[in-house]
Amino acid sequence: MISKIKFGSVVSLCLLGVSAPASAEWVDWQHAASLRVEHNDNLNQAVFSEDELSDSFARADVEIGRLYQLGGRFSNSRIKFGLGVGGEIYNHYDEMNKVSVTPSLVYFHKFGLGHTVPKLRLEWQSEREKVDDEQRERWLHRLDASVNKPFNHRFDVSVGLAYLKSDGRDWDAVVEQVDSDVLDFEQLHLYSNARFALLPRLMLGAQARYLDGEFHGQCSGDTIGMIIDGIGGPENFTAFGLDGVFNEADFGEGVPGCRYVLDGDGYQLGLDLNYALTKQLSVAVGYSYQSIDIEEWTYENNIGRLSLQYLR
Amino acid sequence: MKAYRWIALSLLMQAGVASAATVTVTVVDSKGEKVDNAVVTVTDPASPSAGKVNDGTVTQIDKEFVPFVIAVEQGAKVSFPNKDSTRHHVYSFSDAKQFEIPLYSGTPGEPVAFDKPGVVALGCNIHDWMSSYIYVSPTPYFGVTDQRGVATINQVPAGEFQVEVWHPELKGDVASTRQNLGVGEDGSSALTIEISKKRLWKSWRSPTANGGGYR
Repeated sequence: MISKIKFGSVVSLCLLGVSAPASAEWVDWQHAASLRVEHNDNLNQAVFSEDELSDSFARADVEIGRLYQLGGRFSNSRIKFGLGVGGEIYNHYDEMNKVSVTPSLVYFHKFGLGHTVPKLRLEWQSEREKVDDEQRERWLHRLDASVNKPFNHRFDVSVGLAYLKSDGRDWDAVVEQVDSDVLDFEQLHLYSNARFALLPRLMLGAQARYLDGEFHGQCSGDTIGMIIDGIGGPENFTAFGLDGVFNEADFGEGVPGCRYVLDGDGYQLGLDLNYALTKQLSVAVGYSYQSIDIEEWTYENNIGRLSLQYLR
Repeated sequence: MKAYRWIALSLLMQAGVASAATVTVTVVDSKGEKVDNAVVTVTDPASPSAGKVNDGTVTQIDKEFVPFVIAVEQGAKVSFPNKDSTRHHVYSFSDAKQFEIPLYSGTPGEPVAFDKPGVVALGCNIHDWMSSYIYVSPTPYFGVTDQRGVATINQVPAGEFQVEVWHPELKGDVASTRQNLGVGEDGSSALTIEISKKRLWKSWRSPTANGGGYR
């Protein structure tokens, strides 16, 4: 369903400019940091309400980036090489705690002169997650292409297409002939973001996203039978494994947590209210709703967040 | 004889200084709050003079234009030194002056001449939040209000003048702020002008949670 995109193609595209005229040069460092507290009412992505588990986490990220300004006919283009580190601490499911390292490469291009001219952004990033629950360690690769169009100083819209590939460890095999690499999946996201300044410092952001690809689902040992019946047999799981984090401690003694991967699609809708504290620092409160259809079931997430972001 | 000539010249010069007044204009908004960055012009409709024109400078510091508003007389040249380590790309689409200084660091070799009166809005094509204004005045008597809302205009000769105010957030046109001012030969004149302001929408330089960076 999803054609695999070679990361190298984007990297090559980004590096095209390096062969541009001698006026190209390193121009700036960029430092970013953020703190975020988030609550997810269906952290384990359960399709049955009785299996839903919620939790909150705090996440901190810092990133350092180096900007390379291209010259000559590429003078409206820049490349940013970035390296980020982050950490996530959960309130209850502390085995989900993680640290991550994320190298990234971003290519920016502005299609002309003026602040309302559209801008292209191509981004590659690969996040290496080290999780307390070792079976959740993985790489999360992301390729993202988006175009931003400011209509005036108050309002701008972005549309983009992102490709995600998660590559994790194989879990212990449970069902014969069914893969146990439940952290391996690929998704395509088609998205649009709009930002509108309610006041000079107060920005309202709205996001809509269509997702297609492979999705995690979660259920307990009590409800797995319904899933298996629905898909016509366990062999039809893309992947299946027993979860070490969401387990009998949540579902009852002797009732394991089951994690599976199935094809699906869905959407996310979100709103953020962002207040600029300074030119480099802002605080935001946001909410997202996600609905993912996998086979005949749907799981939903309500996600609330509070964040502080710094960029210089 | 030589000594008499020096005395006469000295008296003439003192007379000339004495006849030039200082005009102090305070600009307030409709709430009575002081307005900074307002350009005040003092115009003699009968004879806009053409004396020595002072050039101006708009500097780029920490990815901002400094100052936010400057006023220069028609015919002045403005230089745009870049004090940042990154390059800037200064441009304007304004009717009073359209120009572009493509990506550069340091100080461009040639300053830009502003031959037409009016407002010139500046931008940077790399950093969209950067903006500032150059007010090109048709009269040599002008000033920009400070944080106290006060503009001091020196060397104004005696006569009848029209005083006008322009501000980036001015609601309505400049003519709506016009006041007449009589300047005597022996002293200073003071005036307070109230203007109506509208909100100035500009890209706020701040990261956003869903935007991945500056606007």
